[in-house]
Amino acid sequence: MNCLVCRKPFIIPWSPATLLKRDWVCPDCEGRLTPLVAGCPRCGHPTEDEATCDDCVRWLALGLDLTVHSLYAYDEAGANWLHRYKFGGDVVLANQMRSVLRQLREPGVVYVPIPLSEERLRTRRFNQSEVLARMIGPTKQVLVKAEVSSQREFGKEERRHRTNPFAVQQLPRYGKMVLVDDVYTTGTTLHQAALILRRAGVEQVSAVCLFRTLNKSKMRPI
Amino acid sequence: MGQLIVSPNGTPAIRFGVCQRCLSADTRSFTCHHGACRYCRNCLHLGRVCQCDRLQEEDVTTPVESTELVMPFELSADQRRVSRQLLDWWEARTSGLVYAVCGAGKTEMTFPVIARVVNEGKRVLIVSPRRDVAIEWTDRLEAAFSIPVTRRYGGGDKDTIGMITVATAPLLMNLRHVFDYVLVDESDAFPFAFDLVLWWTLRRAGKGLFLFVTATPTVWQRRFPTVHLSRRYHGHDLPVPRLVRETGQAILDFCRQYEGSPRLLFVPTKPDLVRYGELLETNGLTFKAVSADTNERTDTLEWLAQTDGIVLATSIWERGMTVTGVHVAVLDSSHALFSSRALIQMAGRAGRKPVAPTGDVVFFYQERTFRQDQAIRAIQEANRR
Repeated sequence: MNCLVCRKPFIIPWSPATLLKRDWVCPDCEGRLTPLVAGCPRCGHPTEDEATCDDCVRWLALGLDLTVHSLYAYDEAGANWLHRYKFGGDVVLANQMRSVLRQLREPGVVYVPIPLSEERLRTRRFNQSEVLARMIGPTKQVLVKAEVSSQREFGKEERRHRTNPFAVQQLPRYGKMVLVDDVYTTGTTLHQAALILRRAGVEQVSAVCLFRTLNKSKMRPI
Repeated sequence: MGQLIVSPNGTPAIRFGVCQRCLSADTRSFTCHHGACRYCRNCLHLGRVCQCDRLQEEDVTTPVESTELVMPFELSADQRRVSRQLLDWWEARTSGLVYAVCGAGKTEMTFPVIARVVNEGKRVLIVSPRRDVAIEWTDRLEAAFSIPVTRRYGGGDKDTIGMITVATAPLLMNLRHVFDYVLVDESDAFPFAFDLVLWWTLRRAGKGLFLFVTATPTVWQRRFPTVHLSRRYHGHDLPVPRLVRETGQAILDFCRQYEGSPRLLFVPTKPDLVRYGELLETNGLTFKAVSADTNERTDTLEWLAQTDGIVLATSIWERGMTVTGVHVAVLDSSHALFSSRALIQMAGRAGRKPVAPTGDVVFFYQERTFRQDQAIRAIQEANRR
């Protein structure tokens, strides 16, 4: 079988799963991404003795409480992976995360992907967070996004003080919603989306995020 | 006639699950902005094509120009014979095979025919198996010809097609019927040997006229009209490999015997690099390892030539590299990955320069194989001819 990521052949021992699973990832590619284990309880950023990190303290001071479950560190390998997935358009790469994401599923929860603006969806052809959200569980496209410029070049403070581009499309009737996004850099996107959902009357909002940018790292978000 | 681009009016990019650009069936379904759709995973590096995209041919060729040829050196009598034959083949519009031993000066022999083709207003394509070899071709062509050479390998420009193009095969996938003369260098090397699709892309990029240039042609390539050249350009014999039973001591003896000159040890696989590396390290020999993962291959090549060191290489270096006065050893030469063609090519690394026309070639073996004998016999036969 060829590896999904590096497309090189490797050997899988036979098991009943080989009949059901199509995309396999070789151990080399699997080990390249670094999972986040212990860290800040709110965002998953690695901290000493699992204290709340400085970023989250600032968010709490603004009165926004949102727990984000981050899976992997956004280091060099993570950036490469995400670049191939999001900008290269290799949608099936997301199948690598299928089993990890599936474990996050909770009963009675609706997963809400962070939307793309209409125009961006036209050019990219798919919503990267929606593909991830569908792997976790039942999804509902609750939010819509207005066309705003990309956040790529903005710093932390500039990002925080932007107008909220999100709006609620349908009236949500669910008690608990989980937002799904691909990268958590400063958290502005997720916190803005969570704020809108809370205002619309959702009682419990949390979030799942694939990558978490590490502070003081040279990696700029792409 | 041109390059395939994505445009609203054209033919569907993916038909029946087969990508029309790269002919691969590795298309996967996903949800596009309009609904169910497929995209091709094989040619993502050229930009993604989706089932809802349409492909159209666009003319990207630059205006025709003529060139002047300055030969880097005077061709020998044998080389002149071959290049005359190539010109005859071009006049008759037939494909052919140049069966020349390693280090015969194959690059320079083709320059007259390239000049002729270009001056007749036709386009030439030179396909090489690896990027390193393509870069070397470009350097030599730019020194000899007065017109710019289009680079179509990783890191080159991909917008236009000039009169002479140097390319690696994967980047030709979106070209259709552009080149009147396709020169396939080392046509039995790794990407071509296994991948039939690459031959199809090559056939679609050209107009049906091929010239294969290799030291070790495959069986089907030998059916083309062939011109032989079994002398190196400095006129010396090819070094004939010796067979030595492989022990750790024998390998170390080989390394110590040629202390003052560069030594190149070939290993079959990447784990072997580590295994033999430990053997050399414990006995106090410094070395560098080269494999497809090594990024600074050209640096290592310079290091090898300058410091007379030891390099452990996988078969990535079996072709297209020249080091003055190198001594070659093939470790574990009975390994199934070392075909007789690979062994001939590796033996051909030694003695390529007129200043050092000989070199020692040793096949270390655990068991004798037919492949080793075949390689040795082919080299002896070339020396006799």
